[in-house]
Amino acid sequence: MKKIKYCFLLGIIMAFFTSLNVKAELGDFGFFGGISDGRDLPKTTELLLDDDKNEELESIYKEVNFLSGRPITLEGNITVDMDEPDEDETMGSYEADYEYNAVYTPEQTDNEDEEGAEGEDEGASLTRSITYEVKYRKEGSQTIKDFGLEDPDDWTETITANGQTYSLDQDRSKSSISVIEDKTPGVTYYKGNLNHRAVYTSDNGDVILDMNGTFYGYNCAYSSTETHRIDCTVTTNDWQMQYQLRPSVSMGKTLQYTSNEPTAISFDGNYQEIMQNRSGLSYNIYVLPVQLTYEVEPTGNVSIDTFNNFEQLIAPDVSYLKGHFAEDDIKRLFSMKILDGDSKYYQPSQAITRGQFVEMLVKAIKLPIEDTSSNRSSRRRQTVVNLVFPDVLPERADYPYVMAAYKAGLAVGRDNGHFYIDSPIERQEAIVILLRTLGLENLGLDPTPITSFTDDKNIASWAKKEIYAANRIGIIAGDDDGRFKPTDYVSKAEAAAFVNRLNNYMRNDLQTDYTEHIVNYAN
Amino acid sequence: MKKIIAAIASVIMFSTSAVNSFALTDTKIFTDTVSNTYTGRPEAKSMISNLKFKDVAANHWAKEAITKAGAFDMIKGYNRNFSPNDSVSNQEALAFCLRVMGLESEAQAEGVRLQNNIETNGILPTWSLGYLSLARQNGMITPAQYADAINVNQEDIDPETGFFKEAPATRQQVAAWIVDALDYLEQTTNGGESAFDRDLSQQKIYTFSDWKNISAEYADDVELVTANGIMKGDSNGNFNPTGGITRAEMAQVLSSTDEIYIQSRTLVKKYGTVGGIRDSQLNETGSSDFWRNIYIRNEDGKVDILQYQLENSSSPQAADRDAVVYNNGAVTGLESLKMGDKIEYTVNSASNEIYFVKCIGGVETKEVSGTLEEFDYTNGQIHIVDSSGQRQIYFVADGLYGNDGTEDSTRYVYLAPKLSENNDQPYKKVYNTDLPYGSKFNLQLKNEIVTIMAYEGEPTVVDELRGIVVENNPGLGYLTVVDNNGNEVTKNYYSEDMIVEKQQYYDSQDEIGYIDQVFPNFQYDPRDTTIDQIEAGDIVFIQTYDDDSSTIEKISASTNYTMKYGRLRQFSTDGDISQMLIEYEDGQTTWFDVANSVFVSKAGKPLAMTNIQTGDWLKILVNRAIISPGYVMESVKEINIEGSGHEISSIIKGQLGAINQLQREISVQNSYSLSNAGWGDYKEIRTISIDNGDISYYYEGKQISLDYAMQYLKRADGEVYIALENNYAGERVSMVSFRDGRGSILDSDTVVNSDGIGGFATISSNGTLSTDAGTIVRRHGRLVTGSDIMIPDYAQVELNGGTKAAVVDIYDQPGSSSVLIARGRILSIDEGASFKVQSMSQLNDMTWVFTPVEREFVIDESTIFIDETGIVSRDSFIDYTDASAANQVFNIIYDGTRATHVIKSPYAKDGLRGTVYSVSDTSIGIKDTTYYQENTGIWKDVSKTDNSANITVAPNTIVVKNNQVVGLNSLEAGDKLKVYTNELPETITGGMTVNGYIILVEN
Repeated sequence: MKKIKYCFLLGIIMAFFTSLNVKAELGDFGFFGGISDGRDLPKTTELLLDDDKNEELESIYKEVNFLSGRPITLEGNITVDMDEPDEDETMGSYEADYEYNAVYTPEQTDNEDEEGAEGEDEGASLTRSITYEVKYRKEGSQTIKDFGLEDPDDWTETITANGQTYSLDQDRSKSSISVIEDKTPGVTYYKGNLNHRAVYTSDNGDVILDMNGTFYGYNCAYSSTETHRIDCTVTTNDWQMQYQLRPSVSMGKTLQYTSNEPTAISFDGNYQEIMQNRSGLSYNIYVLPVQLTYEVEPTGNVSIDTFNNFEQLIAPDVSYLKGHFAEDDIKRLFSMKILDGDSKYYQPSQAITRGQFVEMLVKAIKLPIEDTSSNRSSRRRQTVVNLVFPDVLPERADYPYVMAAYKAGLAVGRDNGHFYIDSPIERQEAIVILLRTLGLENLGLDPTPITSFTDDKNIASWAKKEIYAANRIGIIAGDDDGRFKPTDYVSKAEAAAFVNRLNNYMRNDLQTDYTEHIVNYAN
Repeated sequence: MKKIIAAIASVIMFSTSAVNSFALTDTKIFTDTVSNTYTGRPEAKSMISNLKFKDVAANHWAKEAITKAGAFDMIKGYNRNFSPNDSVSNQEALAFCLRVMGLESEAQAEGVRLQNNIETNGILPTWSLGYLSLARQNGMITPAQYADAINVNQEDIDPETGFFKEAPATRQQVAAWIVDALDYLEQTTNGGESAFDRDLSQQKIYTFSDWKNISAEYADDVELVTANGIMKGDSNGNFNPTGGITRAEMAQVLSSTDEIYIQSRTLVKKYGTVGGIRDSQLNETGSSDFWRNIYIRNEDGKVDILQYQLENSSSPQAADRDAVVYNNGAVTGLESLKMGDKIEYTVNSASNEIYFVKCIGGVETKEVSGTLEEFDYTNGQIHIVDSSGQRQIYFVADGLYGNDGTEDSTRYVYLAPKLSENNDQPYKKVYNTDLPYGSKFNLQLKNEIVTIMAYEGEPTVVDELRGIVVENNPGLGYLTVVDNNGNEVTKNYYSEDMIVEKQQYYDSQDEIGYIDQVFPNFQYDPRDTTIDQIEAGDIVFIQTYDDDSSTIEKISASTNYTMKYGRLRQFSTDGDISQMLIEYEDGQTTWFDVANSVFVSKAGKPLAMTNIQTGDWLKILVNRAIISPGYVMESVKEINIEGSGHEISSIIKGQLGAINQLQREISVQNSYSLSNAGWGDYKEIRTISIDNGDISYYYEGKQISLDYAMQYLKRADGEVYIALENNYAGERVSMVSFRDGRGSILDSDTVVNSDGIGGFATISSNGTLSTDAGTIVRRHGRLVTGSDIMIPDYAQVELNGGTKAAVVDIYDQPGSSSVLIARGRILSIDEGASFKVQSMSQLNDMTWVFTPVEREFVIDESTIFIDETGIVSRDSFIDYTDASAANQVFNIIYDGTRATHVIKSPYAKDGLRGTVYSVSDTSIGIKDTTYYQENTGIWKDVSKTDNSANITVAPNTIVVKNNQVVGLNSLEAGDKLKVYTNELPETITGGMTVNGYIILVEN
């Protein structure tokens, strides 16, 4: 962080891209089947002004408790204090501390008829404090994180419900979580499993809550989601119940176009970016205490009302493109600053160069850009720049972007080591780089699968895997004759469309896959 | 000029793949100190074109000798002809030898001098005059011979002893002159040191069969030239001393003197390999001079540069500096040298000019293999241990290895899957830490530089073919796969003669695995299957019999399944096959033919294919085979119907309040929610989130953008209809439809007419009603379109503007007819499994129909037992002890043979009907009450003034709604009930209280 601040002091504009995209972190809403309202995704302007990342996160929290045999929705807050793996270490450990406080206050009934009815609702409360020791190791792009309790005392919990108090028996309670994380240039994906066995003592004897579940999540510059699917069993002396919790919290940025109402205004309509969080929890009860069969709905939902942040985006002047096929695509990219410079000079029918395309992609996935200007400012000694590509010299404006892409494994030179930065890019080259940003190139099962395009034989063998995968996730489709035309050059309009499709994929498609596809088809 | 630059440019432009082939580069050639830079000679350009003789083919035996001799200025042709088979005259032979002696220019000058004095000296004017004169001065011919040669009257010369300059030179004479020439060279160069061996002891001449024919005066000369390898005998072992010599032979002789010639001329012959080529262009003065530096790693390991220059002056030819390059029969210039060429180059160490370059066999390619011992990134060397245990170290071409960062772990090499120039397979970047040290590597070397490294691993023990199945025909016994190289391969098989395994997608872990291949009788393997289970799209590994038939011996398959998500738009079923039109989330549609045997489930429960409804969201497991480019075959393996997600949970109407675009909310004033009993649940303002991006907005049937809605739709008196769907977070908006008119609702009724394109009519509708894109059509919970309205759907319709339907809500016609209720006397109980009744009465409308037959009902875990206290444990239903249920009478709700509810409750034979107006935990208030008069069989009003009644609900009361037993909380105001009670009060009055035991919801 300090380094970045220092860069700011030097007034280096590059810092916009080096700075943090405050992303949702793994386990932002704990691992007990509850939901939080998520973090606020930062606005562009905020990113520029404020780089303080709040280590401790306090959020609104809701959890559905079933210890009494019926679902009770508790509301309160969760405080997460979590360190991060050391960037430079390949293994180590850190602490993750979760504090949950939530209550349920029954509505005051003023209906006299119901007063004194049996089973009067006395409300419920939850306090839970759990500190995990997280051990991690990294191998390549992957990180394994194991959450465990160092000491039984690290987990304390008290629940009251229906007049009963349930206290956690620390010695008999266990909790274990293991996560695998894979970092690709544009998206970090993770998956984990959790297992808790909570043993509570109460006046009616022991109550045992077993939770085991799987969770999936990802985060990228435009959205992030974490969805859990947890199967739970409550065992008491008298009855048992089984249910599934499916909490999901996602954060996303949505683009919304608004035209202007007044006629006399100096700019056209513009895009707004809306940071919206969605927090929902659905549950299915599969086995109920038999006496509650007709009283308890077997399914239910809980959600948290969230407040959207938003900001205006620049209104670029693309009036000369009015009516062009790619007008919207280009306008969006200029609004998002994925395209830069004077929008008036963006010629959609011209071929885009390899350098321009890579720069667009690097901006689109917000890859960290290394500050090359610091080399110039160091006067003590002349720095020898080790050239990766002989034709990409450090004094070029696009040098840092190509270098960032190269470091992320996105950009590779052509065979003799040159990058051919000013050459037009072929469609197959573009798609290969584009798909690698998502890290989904391995969706093709074969190293050289056959694609479904009729001109499959024209697709270079090194590009097949990516083109196959891009087609499969719906980023590209064939033309009317089912061709992909791999060696055609990409026009600037097409490039804008490609990058927009990627942007939409990162905003929407990933989120759908990580929420509805997991939650709605659950058994 | 331009042409040459273009040719050079084409060398620089390589193919466009990311990592495909590698430059054959000496890693340090550009950084090592350059010991010498040699430039081409200005005269080389014309020399090269001169030496491209038309009459000396590339495969001429003396082509190289002629070229080399030409490069050393020893021979010349005329008019691009060398006339190789012409014999060499004495004067020509002398001229050749004088050129070897380096006296060409002197001879020319002498010739000019003598020519100028011809008149005075009376000598023969001839081109060879200077040569003859110098030959005389150097003792090669005697003054007498010279005199003969310049005699104007050649016919006067004595035919026996005279010297005829135009007569063919004899071989022995040539030998003598060559020796004279070499002697001269030896004397005129430093210290007389020469490669010319003057030892006469070898007696080489006696090896010739015709040695006797050699004149004694020439014997020593012939001995010297043959001993030094300058001249040879013919294939019959004759020296043929008095025979003539052709120009080609002469060129060969001259060329053989090169060692001595070179030494005497401050020339140096060197050997090396072209390690790198750099082109430069000087642009500053606009002259755009171009030069190419060819970096040579010479045999001493030093770096020399051969420089080829082109100058873009007005007379470019004059200034070009090039050298004669002989390359396997071709005479070219320096531009033809390629990286990796092994060359012999002769340069002048004083002037640093290049005289002659010869490519020695071009690129030498070989393959070696061994185990990887070390990769030395610093020096770019690979160390392998070959099969004889020798450690071999080779230089590795630049580009095959590198470093991503500065760490040892960021160093990498590129490995190919196999040694092939046209590698289809991409190179793989392997980091140092992942290199399989100690494993077998195959290396391809070009001129001792490694150009491809392939990790071979251990020897292949089993031959396996991997591919994707395109077709399997068990009937004819063949299988076609597309292999990893994209080729179609067909293999035959005999079904009974092969082992087949298939890994199902749900079965990714197999505890037996390959051990069962090794020991076939090991254990039952769940993957064992038959060949007909292998289908298109499967990924297979095939082992074949090791005989000529090469039929399949073993095959192991895995499915190639992908998951697809979409909405069912059209559905029809015919016999064993159903056709489904699926609309994916991105709006694309596909038809699927689905076998009706395909497993269908919803929320974990299996369903019949016919239970899939249009509008359902499906997760489809597809086996996807790309049969050929452009031809994709997909077969559906399993269908999972989405749970309640996307189910249209409510439909709201009201007037548009406001759209808050940033909080993504829409507020609706004077709003109602649709229930089966019409619009209800009035609220002044409802605020509904429009968070999700996939909402469609319509205005009068036309799709609009949210922005448009914000700008142009005001709080007018039109209506807004909103369809909300279930979502994991509760509800969310699926569709918003704005309409100008005022809505009016029609009663629920049966659809009697549908044109399949959106027009339909119900029994009570006044003529045909129409739908448009903005009509919210909910069919059994799913959002569909107007064309999905079918006869005999039961629908509730909201009209807005004439006959235009704003909302069509299709749902199951309510009723309780399919719930079977009986009353039976228990005969015996098989605990937890079943029970028998000795007789039973079945409830049929208002009568219990008695059947005096024994009947058995099955009990399972979901059977619910209820007594006066409510739900009780199944364990209490026993036929012994005090608590025995035997001989007692129970109400039984059943489904086939399965009892779903067993209820201890009184015999409820009397009935009431009414409409619910209030519900509490223990009672239900009904209005419009009628009661059943058993004796007349008709329903009568309870009262003319107060038609209400209170139904007391006991813990053992059963409520049936929509053919399901439900809790009391499922009753809503407006529900029409039929209530069975044990007895009605003696006097029937309004407001009376009745115990309800069985309550059926009839609406």
